Amino acid sequence: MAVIRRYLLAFAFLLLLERPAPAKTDLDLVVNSLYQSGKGGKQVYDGSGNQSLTLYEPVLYINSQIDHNTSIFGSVVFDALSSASAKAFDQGTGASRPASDASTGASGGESDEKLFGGWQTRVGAELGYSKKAGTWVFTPTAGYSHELSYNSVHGGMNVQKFLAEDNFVLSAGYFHFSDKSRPWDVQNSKFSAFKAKTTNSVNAGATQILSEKDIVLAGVSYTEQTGFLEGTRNTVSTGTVTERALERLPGSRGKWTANTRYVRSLGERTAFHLDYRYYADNWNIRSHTWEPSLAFSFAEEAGTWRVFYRRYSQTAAKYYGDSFPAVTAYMTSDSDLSGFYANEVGAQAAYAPETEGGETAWEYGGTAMYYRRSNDLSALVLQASITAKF
Amino acid sequence: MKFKIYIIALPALASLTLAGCVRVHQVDREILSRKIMQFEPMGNRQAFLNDVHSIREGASGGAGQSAGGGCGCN
Repeated sequence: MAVIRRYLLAFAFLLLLERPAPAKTDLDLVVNSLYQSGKGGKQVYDGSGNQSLTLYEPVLYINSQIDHNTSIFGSVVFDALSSASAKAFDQGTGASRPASDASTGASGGESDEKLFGGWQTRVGAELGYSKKAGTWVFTPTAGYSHELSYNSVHGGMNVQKFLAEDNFVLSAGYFHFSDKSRPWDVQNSKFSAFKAKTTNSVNAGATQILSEKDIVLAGVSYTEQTGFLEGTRNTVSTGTVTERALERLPGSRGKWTANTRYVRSLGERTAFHLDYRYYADNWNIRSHTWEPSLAFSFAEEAGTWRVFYRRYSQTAAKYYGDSFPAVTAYMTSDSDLSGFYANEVGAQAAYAPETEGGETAWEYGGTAMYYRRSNDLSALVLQASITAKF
Repeated sequence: MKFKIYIIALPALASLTLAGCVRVHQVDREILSRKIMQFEPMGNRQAFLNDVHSIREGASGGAGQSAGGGCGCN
């Protein structure tokens, strides 16, 4: 045994000697924040329509280039969310208070909820590995996410094939999500048991260099979801405001998308981007998304900034209604499934001060984005990031 | 529905295929290699913006966006 152990240790030592040192590692901390307001949420439990929400989310990304053909990457995320509808819901039902909190008289209560003064939390992690083999690149990924009433375990594989001296790149991917959702039972004032929700998604795309100054991408995808597809707290009005029932949606949904992206250089320091996406599903939602943007470099390319505009429109799901005088097989008042359009504007910047060779390089970034929907919902997103490259 | 998708997807893919005749050699890609020419010039920060859209809009999934995950909030 000792001989084998010594042999394995020696082999491992040789591997360490042979293995090239990591050429490059990026550690990227991004702090996201979202401030949402609006009173157009007809799905909200207390009938107020209040969809105010605040979310803070730090995410740590790592990307390490192990050698010329191999890299690993991943992220860890923690977010804290406070929403007006959840608070109203909580005050009315005690849904999120610990079971031991009997003094409130609330009939809800789950001992395992992670709440800090009304803040609901989520943790998640993603891990991926990318390996280049000749003109092929294989990228498997896996991830996990846990929050108050939703868990997700997911994984997938993306494959790229580089052709024509890398002028033309084909890609295809498959992703599987095995999720669980725990809806609130309005009638009995308690959480239901977790219910399964499965998502399978395939996509294919191609990228083509058109000239020395422009490049285009086109892709299609199909996503199929089965299981419990309702929201965890979405309700519908079935009479007066106080008479509400949980939304009901079919147990399957098929989604198609087609998208294209085009980038053209407009000189030494400016590039024009145009993205378009079409979406259709078998719940009768159709959507169009247009996003033109301009990207600029400054300080001899040490800095980059970008301004963008996004226009989105969608038709309502065939199960959507503002209210339901009679209970039907399928019914939802979720404002996200209604017909609306949205406008969005934003700016992003990044700057990496010059460093001497061998020193850790730092990059600082920020984003401000404002989003406004036609059905009384608006949101402000602010981001700050710091990246270490060593 | 599928027919409409093909109306958009097929011409896009066909144009890519035809454009396959174009070849820009590595030494001529100085402009293309610039950060501002990348599809996602701001890297990881785009992920959260995509999440915001997928949570707040009915048309999530596909095209590089999260197909699952959840936000239990209303």
